[in-house]
Amino acid sequence: MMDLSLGECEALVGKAARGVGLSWGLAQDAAHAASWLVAHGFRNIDFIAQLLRRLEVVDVAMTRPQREVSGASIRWSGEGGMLCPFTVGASLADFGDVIDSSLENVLMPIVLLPFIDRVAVRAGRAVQAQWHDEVVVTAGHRLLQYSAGVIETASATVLLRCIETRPAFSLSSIQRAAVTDTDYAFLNSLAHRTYVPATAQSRLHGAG
Amino acid sequence: MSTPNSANHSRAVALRSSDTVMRLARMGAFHQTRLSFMRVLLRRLAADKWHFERPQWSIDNAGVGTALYTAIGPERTYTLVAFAHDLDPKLRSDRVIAEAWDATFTLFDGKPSALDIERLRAVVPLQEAGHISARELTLSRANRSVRLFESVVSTLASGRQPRAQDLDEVGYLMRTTAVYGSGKFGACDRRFIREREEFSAPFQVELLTVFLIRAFSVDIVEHLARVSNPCAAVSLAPELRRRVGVGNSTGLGMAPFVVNHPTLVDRWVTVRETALARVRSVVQVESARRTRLVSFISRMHIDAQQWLTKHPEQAERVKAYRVDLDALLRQCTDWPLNEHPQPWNQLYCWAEKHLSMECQEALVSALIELYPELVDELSARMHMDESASFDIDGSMPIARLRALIERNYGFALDCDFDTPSNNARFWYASEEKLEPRLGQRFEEPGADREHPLAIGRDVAALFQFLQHDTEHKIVAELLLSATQHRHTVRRVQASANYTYAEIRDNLIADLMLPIDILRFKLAFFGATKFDPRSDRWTRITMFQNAPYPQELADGYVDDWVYPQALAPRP
Repeated sequence: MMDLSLGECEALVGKAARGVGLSWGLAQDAAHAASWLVAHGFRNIDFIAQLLRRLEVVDVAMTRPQREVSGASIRWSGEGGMLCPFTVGASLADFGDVIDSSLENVLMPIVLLPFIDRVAVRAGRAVQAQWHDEVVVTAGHRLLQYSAGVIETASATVLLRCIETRPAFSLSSIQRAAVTDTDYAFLNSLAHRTYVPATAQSRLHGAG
Repeated sequence: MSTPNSANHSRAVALRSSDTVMRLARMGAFHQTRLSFMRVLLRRLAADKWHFERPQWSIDNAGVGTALYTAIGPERTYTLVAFAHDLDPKLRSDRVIAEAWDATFTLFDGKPSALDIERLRAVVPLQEAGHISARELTLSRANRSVRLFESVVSTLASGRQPRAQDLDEVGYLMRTTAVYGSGKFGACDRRFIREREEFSAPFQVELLTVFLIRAFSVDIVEHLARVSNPCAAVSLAPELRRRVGVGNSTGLGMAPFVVNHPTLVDRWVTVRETALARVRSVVQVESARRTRLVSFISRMHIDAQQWLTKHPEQAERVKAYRVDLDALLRQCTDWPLNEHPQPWNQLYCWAEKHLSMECQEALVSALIELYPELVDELSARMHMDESASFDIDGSMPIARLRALIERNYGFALDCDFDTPSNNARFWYASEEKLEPRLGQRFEEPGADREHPLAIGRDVAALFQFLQHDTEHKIVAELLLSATQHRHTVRRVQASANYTYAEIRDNLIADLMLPIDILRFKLAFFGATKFDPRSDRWTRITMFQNAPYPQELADGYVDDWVYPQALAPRP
């Protein structure tokens, strides 16, 4: 098991996200999301490695989200039938919708949390995410409640709504991320795709 | 013609514009100021009466072993853990890609136990290949100066002192090749220590490390002299010790930082420009202040004479700089203090017309130096919570985004990126050492893995896209499909209200000089004696002429950067 600083965790996840084909901007969001999740209690980032394993085998373009507003609710779905939580999460935060939303078939829905939290910050309200039997409530920099199974879900349709709640507790802040050696090697192999091998020409120009 | 209001000449002088300041040619001419981070560090260490100990010195006769240096402040203690090695001279390399060094270091948060030291002994000498913990704040290494180290050891061993001139010319006994902090290689993240008063200014942890490494570099030289000739060896004379700084080699790795932290860079430059504007606005100037200016510039002149570089362009610049300093000195000596309402402003305007940028910026440093009471408090404003500008404002109308680009990125919109020379290079991370590099787009492979540092080109591309986009009303709609522009939109929004956030030049142009970016950052650190070794890496000196840790308590004099007198020629 490796112990990583939050900065290392961010850098690694950001490069790995870029390595599976997300844009640089979305990779920035992925990096930010990873350290948010660690700092809010999800110290072991194996679930992010698991997500990136899935993204590696699907065409990332096929997870591009579509947003349909119908009446008092919003429906998000992916072009290829599934949603990437980094991509749809980023758009969710961009729109900042505070009306009921459903997100169809999100990979590793736990990864939506940092983005839902941004909606909660913007709206100044608590937002509840629900899928299967799991419930998570976030209220702007505070993760108020979550059930044990949230981290296990590989994919699910997620329902979001604003709720009235009084902040009950805030999870303690974690300062280090943990990753298994296998996941660390895997994430690094994705990050590797963002590097450029040296050539005779680049050596000639001098590196710096 | 005099009107009732025109008599009021004492209006505050405005800050210089970003089009003047944030150009690479000028950024590459910056000098240290009293607001540089080294100066801020030593002022604090002295004001808060930090004291320093060397609780362990276990170095053998071959110069191998462990040493500890402790910095004890009002609330906390930090320890430099130094490992001295026996390095085969053939392996000694300045490059960040080296794998062995003369000495390796970490700054420990507190006092390390024997167990901590054993743990660190296993990882610190490995540097990037090892992994430190949250208890460590920095990771660093240094090599001996081939030109100076051995000769000073043998001179001291024979009971003599080295020549001051030799010390001045090289400037250091050891040279660091990297000082990592901020969570790198497992170190503690900055976000968990930035609330500590002693670390609130930028790079204080890294510079405290270097300040202690400097003490180590002299101690090990004296130690080796003593063990080689215990009866005759002498210590380095105090006035000579001062002339020893720490060298540093800095390459492209530092450049992306400046590009990737636009709002932080804005804070640094705003503080420096505010300091300059305050001094230019001074109405009544005492003649004693002018005397100090003349003395200060004379010392800059001495420093310029010691400033040696083989880099052809920099050598020419230094030559012209010396000539300009002569001209500046002549002007300053009897610069009229009563003819104009703002004499320093007049002097600055004269310099803008008659001197090179190298010398204009030296005058900026000199003017700022004269007025601690006007400028020192600004150093508390040089940090920035960058997380505040991370979130994208999705509700922003596209018309507003377009207007922001037009207002702030004229330099990008005016550039034709279809011209190959304007699009000649690309920034990337090398597979070999994971370090930032600059490639030739049309000659080398790898442009498909380009890093997003071509700010001007990317903003111009976004603008172009928006010109043809009638579909989207707000940013959130745009980014739902056009995710390739996401990083650029984030940047345009984040930098919107920060005058000095952007370098207003093309960072991928064929003739762009990365050393200009390096010098800008290193000047903010407080470095001197810039000695570019190519267009992409430079040697510098840090803490030359500064007091040593133990000397801070004996009446700290902040004005240490430039030498007091030329070394006498033997």
